[in-house]
Amino acid sequence: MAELEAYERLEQELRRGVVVLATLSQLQTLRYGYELRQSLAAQGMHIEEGTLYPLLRRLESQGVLTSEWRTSEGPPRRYYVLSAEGRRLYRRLTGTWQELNDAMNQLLKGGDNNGR
Amino acid sequence: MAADDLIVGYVAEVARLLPRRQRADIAVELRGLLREELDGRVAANPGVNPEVAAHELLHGFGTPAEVAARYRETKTVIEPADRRSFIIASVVGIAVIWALGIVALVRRPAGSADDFFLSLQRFWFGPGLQALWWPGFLVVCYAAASWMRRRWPRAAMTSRIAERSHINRPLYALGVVAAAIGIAILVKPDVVLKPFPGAAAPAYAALAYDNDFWHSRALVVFAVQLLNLALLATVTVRGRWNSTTRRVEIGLSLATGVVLAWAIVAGPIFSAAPTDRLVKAILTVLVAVSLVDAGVKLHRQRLRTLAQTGTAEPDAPGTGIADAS
Repeated sequence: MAELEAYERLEQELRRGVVVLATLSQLQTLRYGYELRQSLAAQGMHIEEGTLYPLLRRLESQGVLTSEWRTSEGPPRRYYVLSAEGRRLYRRLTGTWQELNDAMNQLLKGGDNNGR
Repeated sequence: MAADDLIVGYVAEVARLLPRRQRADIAVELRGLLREELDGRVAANPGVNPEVAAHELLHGFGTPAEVAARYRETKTVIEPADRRSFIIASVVGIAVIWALGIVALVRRPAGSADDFFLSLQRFWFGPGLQALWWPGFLVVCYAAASWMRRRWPRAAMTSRIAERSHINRPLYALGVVAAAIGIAILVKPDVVLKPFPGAAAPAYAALAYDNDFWHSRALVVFAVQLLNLALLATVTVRGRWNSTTRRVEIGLSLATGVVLAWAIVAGPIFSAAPTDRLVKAILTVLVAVSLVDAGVKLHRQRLRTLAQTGTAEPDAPGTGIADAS
């Protein structure tokens, strides 16, 4: 039971680390919250609605996203997209992610070898 | 309760906890998103009760307070790193104030059960509840320290434990002069009335020491203050602290706290009751500060010793790294 709890807690930490980059990756074009969450889930990145929707607002307040209200397709929806600063940030974060991914692959390969 | 009413009520609760300028905007957006989430769940599970689905959705989303917090940047008043020291300082401070109150209570023995309960009542509505100002004061101090660390992060990186060897000599010299003036005023408080030649006799009477205090406790109080002054002067002349002066400083902080506490509880300090009450209130704060200061410095001294020698004992054999003394 304790092991399961530890796994769930640490897995959540791991996911928390990629939520921002995953979100930014899908905001090259205007999207609203629900649509974004469905798109991420369809590609295997499940983010809880309680995490994603406030995150969009915080990223906007930090200047990473811009937003606008649209009412043309029914009820008013707030659409988000990367700002110019957000696009620069996204490129840098993507580079960092690639480096981390390569490093982790090396570490895990080495870890597997040590474990044998 | 209909599913939509649940969502509307929930969103209203979240909005209530948001800054005024964001409320309307976030409320409209959140309401729309939660409705779409609910529609999606109902469409994926035909036959599910929408109200039940709404309950599950909102439960998973989080309490209104949690959700409102996620919409804001995280700001802490007391940083997690300071939590332990804040708790210790609060508990110790309250304990000291209550202890002093209990000592004052015990010094006035109750003649009857009524007197006893009256004393208890006086204690509770006096030092008992009023001690709670101390954690409030600490919150302000810790919040200010946290703000300063965020504002000047470089200065925050400087180790407080390592930095204190060398001193700002002019500032310390100023401190010596100020302390000497302070002691002079302590010995003869009515000297502060000299610039006011028209000061009436009651003003001088208000600053007159109690005879018993003057002939007994005053000598010890002044002696401890002179020792503090001597230490400050020594450090100023040397230009730095070393392990010996730090140990003396800790001892003097403790001694100051104990002597002042004794001066407070052993009887009146000033003849005039209002002056006596005011001065004792100030001294109570100084006692708490002195004792906490001694505790903090002792802790830092042990950490310094640990960092140098790998053991908490100051005189134990270490790694051969020379002490700054």
